[in-house]
Amino acid sequence: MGKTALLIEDNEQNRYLATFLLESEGYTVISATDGNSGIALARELSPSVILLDIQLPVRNGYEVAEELRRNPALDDVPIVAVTSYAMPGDREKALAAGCNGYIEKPIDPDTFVAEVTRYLPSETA
Amino acid sequence: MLQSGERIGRALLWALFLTAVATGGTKLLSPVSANAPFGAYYIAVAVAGRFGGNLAGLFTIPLALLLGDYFVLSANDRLVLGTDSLTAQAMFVMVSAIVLSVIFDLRSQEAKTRASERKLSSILDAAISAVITIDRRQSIISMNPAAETMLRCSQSEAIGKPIEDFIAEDHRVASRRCFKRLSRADLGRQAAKSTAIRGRRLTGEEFPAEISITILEADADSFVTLIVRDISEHVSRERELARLSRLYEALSEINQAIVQSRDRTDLFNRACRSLVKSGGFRMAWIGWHDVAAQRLVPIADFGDSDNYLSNVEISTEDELYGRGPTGTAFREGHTCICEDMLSDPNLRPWREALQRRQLRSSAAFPLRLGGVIEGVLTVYAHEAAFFRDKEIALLEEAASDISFALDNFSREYERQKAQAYAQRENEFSSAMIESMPGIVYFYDSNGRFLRWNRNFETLSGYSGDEIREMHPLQFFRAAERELVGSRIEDVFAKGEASVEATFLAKDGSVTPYFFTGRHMVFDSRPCLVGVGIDISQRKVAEDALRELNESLESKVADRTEQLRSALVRAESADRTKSAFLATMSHELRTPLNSIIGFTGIVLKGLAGPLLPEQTKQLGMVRNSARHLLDLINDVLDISKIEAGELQIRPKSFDLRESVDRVVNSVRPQAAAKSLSLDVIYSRSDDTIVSDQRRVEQTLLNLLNNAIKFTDRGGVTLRVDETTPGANAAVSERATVRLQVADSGIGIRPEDIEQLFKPFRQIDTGLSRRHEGTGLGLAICRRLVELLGGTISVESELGRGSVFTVTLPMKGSV
Repeated sequence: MGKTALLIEDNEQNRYLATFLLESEGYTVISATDGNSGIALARELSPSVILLDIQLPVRNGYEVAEELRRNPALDDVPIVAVTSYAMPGDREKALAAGCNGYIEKPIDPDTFVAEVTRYLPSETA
Repeated sequence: MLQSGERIGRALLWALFLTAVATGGTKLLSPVSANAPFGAYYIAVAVAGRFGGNLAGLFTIPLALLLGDYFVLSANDRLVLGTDSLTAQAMFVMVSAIVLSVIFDLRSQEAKTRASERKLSSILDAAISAVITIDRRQSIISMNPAAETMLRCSQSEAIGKPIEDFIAEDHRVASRRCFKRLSRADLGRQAAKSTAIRGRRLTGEEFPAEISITILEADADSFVTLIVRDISEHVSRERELARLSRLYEALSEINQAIVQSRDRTDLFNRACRSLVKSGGFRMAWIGWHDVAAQRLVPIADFGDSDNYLSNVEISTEDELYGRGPTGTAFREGHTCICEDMLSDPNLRPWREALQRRQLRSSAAFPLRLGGVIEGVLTVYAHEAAFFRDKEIALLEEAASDISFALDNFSREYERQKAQAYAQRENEFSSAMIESMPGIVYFYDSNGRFLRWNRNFETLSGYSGDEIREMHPLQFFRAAERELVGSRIEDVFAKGEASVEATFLAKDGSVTPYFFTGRHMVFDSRPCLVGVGIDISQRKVAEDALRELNESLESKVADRTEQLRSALVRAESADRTKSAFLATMSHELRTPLNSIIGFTGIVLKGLAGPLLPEQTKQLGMVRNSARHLLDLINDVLDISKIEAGELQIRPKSFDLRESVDRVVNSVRPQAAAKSLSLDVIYSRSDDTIVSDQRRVEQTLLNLLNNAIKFTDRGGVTLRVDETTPGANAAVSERATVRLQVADSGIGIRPEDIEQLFKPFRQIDTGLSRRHEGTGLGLAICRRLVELLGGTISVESELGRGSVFTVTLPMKGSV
């Protein structure tokens, strides 16, 4: 069974980088450029993991995470915040909003996919 | 007749009896009396004449002749003249007659004396004066009934006693001297004329007496007759009179004092003084009621020579110290007399003191103020029972006069107070009126000015005399008189009114004024009190004030705005800084994400194979990008630390794993420089409670530095621990020690101090060879401190350095 990652990221380069790395490790990557379309896609596809940028247009990542977590169908889907917010409390805020993990940008291409995979439930890994 | 018959009979009996006895005697003594046969009859005649009376003597002669003839003479000798017996008989008759006549004389003399004695005695008995007769030795011979009464002694008791027994002891010396002076020259005359003396009755009682002494002589002995008069009543009457007259004098002095004294104290002192000096009392004082202390406090006294009063305490209550005359008089409101203070049980508390001062009796008189008893006048005398009705009446009069004066004083005091108050009020209102800045005036309902202040004259230009003749409306222009007039009417009708009008001065100048008038009754006349204020100045002032207020308001507003914006700026600066750091961090990371990410992808060959030269160059790109990321992270760290925002999250973790991970991460760099990298780990327990991330960051920093500044040799990391001894101080705790030693360039001693400060890379010129932000050690030090540990360095230039970090094994407290 293929692993599907929903990537919610507005920066094109970042989106490309992450998609490249994930796909090269066998992930199917679906991208959304804003929170609302991301939420819609998540509801529609039920991905294996959701990678969520925090600084997004219209609705920020925290709101998106909260919205996603209100959908019981997505209870088992891990949400990993991938963000360049590195100020004190950013990690805590992300976890409080419903994220399961937190990866600081810039991402390390050597370890990024492995880190993401860590958050997947074991049977899908 | 009966009496004379009886006398004749008694004479005959005397004659018979005596002649018979004489005959018997002659017969018995016949041998002896042969030569004088009538010898015994001579004696019989003399005895009968002396004791039986003249008649008995005469009867004895013939009887003696008859009995002598018959029994004593011989028969031939009987009644024959010419014989010897006849001669003897004749001789007997003649001699007997002579004897009888002598006896007659004697008897009549005696009878006369006896009669005169009886007469004298009856005179003496009836005499009012005591008459005492004493002899030269001054023993009493006789005394009359008056003397008996006077001396309380019967004549029989008195006779033989020395007269001195009836003279008072202290007068005896004087009387002795008096008697001594008596001489025979004084015989029959009054030797001493009415000498005053103190007599002493048998009962021991003494009394004043007047005595006249007369010397008499009788039977070659002289007598002294004393005529004594008891003058005690007279003396006491005189003394009473003297006392009363002194008291009258004192009373008149007191009344004088009442008229002259201006205050209570003066009156009291003078009254006490008069009572003692003129009234003859020992002491006088006035106690005044101290309500709080329930005491009568002496406020005036006289005659208190040894401060009796200052030590005496008189209570107004019915208790031990309040039952003397003074306290009683105060409480009961009437005169209180103590006849004998030494025996009155109520005076027990003061008895000793009174005795010492020879004060025997006292009288206390309440003093009233407005009908209420407020004080007590007490006077003392030196003898018991001194106060008689008349004295008491006089002293009561004095007390009542003093009370009357007190009421007057109090009325006078009230009057003076009221007067002074009125005076002060007057001065005050004058001062008020004069000190008023505007004009003040006062006129009656007819518009006649009664009073005004000086300003009114100054500002109007009119003199006081002119104003007195003017009407209030004359100070206004014709055009305004109606308005002002109606306002004045308002004042009298409604009580008060005000008006703005132009004040017209004598010189025609006009000034805008604001007048207020108030109705008041003065001397039972309705009047108007008015005040006028120059409002031209007020208007100017108001404008100025308004301007000032406005400008002040805008100034305050400006300043408030400045402060507010300064605060906003300060707050926003803070926020801006945080936002800037967040943004910078974010914005720098985003491009770095691409750079590092894609170089990584390319270097991994994921995008296709690379030429060795390309791999080398891309590696440089990646290193630079990583360095840039370190830089960003360091700046962010130091900012967070400086802002106090960096938080430590201690939890238990495996130190050995952390050490391995960090060492492994720097191992490629050490290998690249051909440096050895050794770890000497000597701990039994691998866990530590601290912030894992920060511990690793610190260790990484130190290892990076060591590798960076070392070109030969290697880097050694020692991890060990210290455990405090059993007797270590509480503050001393188990610590973990991380020691990074290198064989690098070392640090100059003078630079060591600068080492841990931010942005200081030692030897700027040299450091260019070494990449770095210069923040690493500063961050290390702050982190270690936050973790509750220490960091230190030992170094030798050119030989290497040793950085030592100690961390508490159980986390910071």
